[in-house]
Amino acid sequence: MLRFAGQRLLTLIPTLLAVLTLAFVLVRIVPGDPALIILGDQATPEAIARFHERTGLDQPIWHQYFAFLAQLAQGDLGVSMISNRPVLSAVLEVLPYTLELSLAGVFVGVVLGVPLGVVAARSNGGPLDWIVRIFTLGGLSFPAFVSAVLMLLVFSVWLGWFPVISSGKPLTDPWGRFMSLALPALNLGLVMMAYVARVTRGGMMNVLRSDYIRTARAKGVPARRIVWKHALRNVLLAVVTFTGLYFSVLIGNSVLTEIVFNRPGLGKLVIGALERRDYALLQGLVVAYAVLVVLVNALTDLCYRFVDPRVKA
Amino acid sequence: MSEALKIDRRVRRLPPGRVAIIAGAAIMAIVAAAAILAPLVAPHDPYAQSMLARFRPMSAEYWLGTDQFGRDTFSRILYGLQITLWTAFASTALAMLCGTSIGILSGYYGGRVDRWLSAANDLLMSFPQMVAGIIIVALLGPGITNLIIAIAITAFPAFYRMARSAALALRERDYIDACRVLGYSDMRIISRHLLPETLDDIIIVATLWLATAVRTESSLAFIGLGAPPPAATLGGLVREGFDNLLDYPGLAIWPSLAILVVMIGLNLMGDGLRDANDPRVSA
Repeated sequence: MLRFAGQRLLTLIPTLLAVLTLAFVLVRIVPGDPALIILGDQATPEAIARFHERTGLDQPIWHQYFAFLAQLAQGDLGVSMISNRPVLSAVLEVLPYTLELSLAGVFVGVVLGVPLGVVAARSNGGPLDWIVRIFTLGGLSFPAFVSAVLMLLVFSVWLGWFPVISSGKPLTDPWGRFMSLALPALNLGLVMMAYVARVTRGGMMNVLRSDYIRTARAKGVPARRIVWKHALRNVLLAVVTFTGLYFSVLIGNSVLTEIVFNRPGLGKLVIGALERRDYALLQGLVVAYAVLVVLVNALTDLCYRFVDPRVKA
Repeated sequence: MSEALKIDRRVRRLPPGRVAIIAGAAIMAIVAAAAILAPLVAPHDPYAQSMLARFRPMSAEYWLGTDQFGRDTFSRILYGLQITLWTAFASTALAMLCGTSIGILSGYYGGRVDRWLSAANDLLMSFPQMVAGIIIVALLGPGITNLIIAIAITAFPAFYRMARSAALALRERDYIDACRVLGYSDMRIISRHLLPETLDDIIIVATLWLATAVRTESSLAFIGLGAPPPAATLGGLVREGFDNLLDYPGLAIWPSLAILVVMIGLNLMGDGLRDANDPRVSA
């Protein structure tokens, strides 16, 4: 297991390098000189030169690239072009909020989605299957910001159950933190639930046709036990794989959720960086997202191996 | 009878795809008609401001009320549908065209170029689509054309991957070998034999991606990266409504429902097509 984890981590290096290069290029193909955008059209040539020197933009491009990689290797994401603040500390400050939201969303999605999918598969073509089908179709059809706005309106504004603004609550106020997390997490989770239910249903239908299930039935194992114990264990493999793949969608949805619920997080930081044209911060955020997604993909592989001992390297 | 046996007995009774396709197509036909005929159907000019008619409630004159500039919400939703549908169709078509052709060529010829393209594609796929969309639009600048390009880039990998794997599987078939023996050109084999074989799958992916494109477009518009104002976009309308949510919730609710109707229509069609085409599902 450890050996596999080590090997998997090694394969991350080329992927990461490619993603980092992409982040570097992406931020540099922007038309126009960032100095002019940030300092304004009226900036004097001296001011522009000073800005270029400060941000390293006066260096040749390959020089900038290696400096970028060298800095990264030391855990330095550079400094914001606007506030001069280290990008890494800005990212680390809000990262817990985004992670907390994403994990809570995955939790809600899996905990609600799996039973729903199992129920649908057992009813196969029956009324419950159709109800779940229509329900999940609704879930697939909600863009995250639409569900967020409607949930905010109903549960926070009209019913008053949750705070309207979920701005960062400290960990010392656990109840406040939970309440401000609940609705955004539910928003992410409900959309994910629809997908998980479908994956579970499809997987369940396949597994229930397999030989070992027939054997279990022939042995007289109760139906409930067959479905929830024997079959579900195999279906969960598909759910784990799906969750890993879905993570990048979830991250995208978390951007919208953070905006609607006014939560601190990577998404809000991206929007702020775009509005202020802070390309250094933007580049750091692209790196942060890329590292997050690559890590989650590796983690999914590890989980997969953990859940299914048949999978070898 | 034990319950486990029942699971086997109840093999699908309803034709799964048919109902969904018809319902989805009907919804989309109405929505598309409303969007195309917007100049004729809309009761008001969607851009005409009136300081005297700000925040009007629903009435016979303003069916869904008016916004903070006195513009008619219903008319703006109709024009917003135009932009949303056009952006979604154009970007999906662009991604389908580029993704499918490059994917088929890549899979058919294989080799080093194929390996590099696949690696680049996996890279693009691993990046959060929404975040990529946000950054590409932000870098390209506002405007509908840039929006279409950005959404097409995020949709490209799905088509590429599907077309490539289909070409990879098909090129080993005997009848393709037979074509080669007959001396057919690669172009002829690809266009007359490979492409038709993959067309069904491509159409299904395209229908499902239309829904994703609508979602991406409206999400970007909600963030403020959609078609620039004063253009009415559905996501932009939700945003304007969101800014007045406490006092005038209707401004956010109506465009939200419009987005939902479009999404449900497209998802129904995509789901139905997929089910109808899946040999495991049809009874």
